[in-house]
Amino acid sequence: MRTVGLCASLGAAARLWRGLGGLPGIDLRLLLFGAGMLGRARRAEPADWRLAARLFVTRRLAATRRGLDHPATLAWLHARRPEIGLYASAALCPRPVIDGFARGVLRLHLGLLPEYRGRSAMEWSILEGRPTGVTVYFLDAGIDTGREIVLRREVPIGPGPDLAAAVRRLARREAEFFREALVRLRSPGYRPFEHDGRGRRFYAMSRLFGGVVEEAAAISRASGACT
Amino acid sequence: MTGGGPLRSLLRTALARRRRELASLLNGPPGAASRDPIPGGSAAGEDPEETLRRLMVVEWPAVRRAPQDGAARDAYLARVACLEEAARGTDARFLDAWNLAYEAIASWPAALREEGAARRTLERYAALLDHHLAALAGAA
Repeated sequence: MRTVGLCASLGAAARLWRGLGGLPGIDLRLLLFGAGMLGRARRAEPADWRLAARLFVTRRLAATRRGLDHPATLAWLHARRPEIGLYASAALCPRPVIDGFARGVLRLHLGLLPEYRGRSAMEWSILEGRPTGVTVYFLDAGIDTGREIVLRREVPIGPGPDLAAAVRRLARREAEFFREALVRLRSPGYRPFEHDGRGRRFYAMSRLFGGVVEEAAAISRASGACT
Repeated sequence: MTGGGPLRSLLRTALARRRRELASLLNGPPGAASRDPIPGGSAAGEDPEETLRRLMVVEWPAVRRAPQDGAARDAYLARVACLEEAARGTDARFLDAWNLAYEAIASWPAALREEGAARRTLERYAALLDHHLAALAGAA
């Protein structure tokens, strides 16, 4: 299955390769894109740089400072006739990019869909006393409204100095969740979770509620309970 | 408004603390909230979900970028006012729109905070906090 990881940072590209590079039946290429990509790359680990250099030489990794929807970037994508995209960026994925993949583009959402769409989904789940988790789904033009949900898994907020750090660490596990989604997608008898339109869209959380969530998560961690 | 006893307790404590901060900002005792309408603050016929979306996607980012822009402030505060009724309900997103409005206004220079619409927003926010504190006390 021709798969392209669309990565806004070198770190994400390295994690995707390490997590998915050897997955049977997956022909993985990586595209590092965007104007901010170089700045983020300077902060990458030396091991990530070495891996990136090796992948670049073997043509598994390409890089462009242009956006994904630039004609040259789209042409590069189309030439590879990709089936599945793995979207590793916080920005919205342009529609022409999604349309360029035969099967679609998968994205990791830090929150359980369809209930918690939009921003700060983890935090809102905690505030409402609901389980936290992650979802891998096929993008559409909306905000977390893609109808085909491939993976939906409850994941407790792990240990960390604060909730933001724990959420960041969870986000860096994107390769693990993409891998699980790809395996599930290719398994015989695969049946997606249907996004039935339930749920609400959430937005940035205030400092007031953010503080409540932080305290609730700290209590949960201290008591050993899974949030 | 949220599930779970410990969460309710944390929430009650946080809202009470915010209410005291707000009273201090308004230079008045808690419970002195105004009943005057805010100009532009009518929710009649509007879908609160769409109002919240426009507020958070359009007006809130605009006023954060340029709080000195009077038109952006007016548009933002008028939109917040449209969510007053929804913010009395159980969906915490709507009260949080007011929490964010308070946090925005509190960061503005005193002269802007004292403008009519900003001050009335804070007064209505005080009434909302009183409403939820009473509801949380009743549920305890």
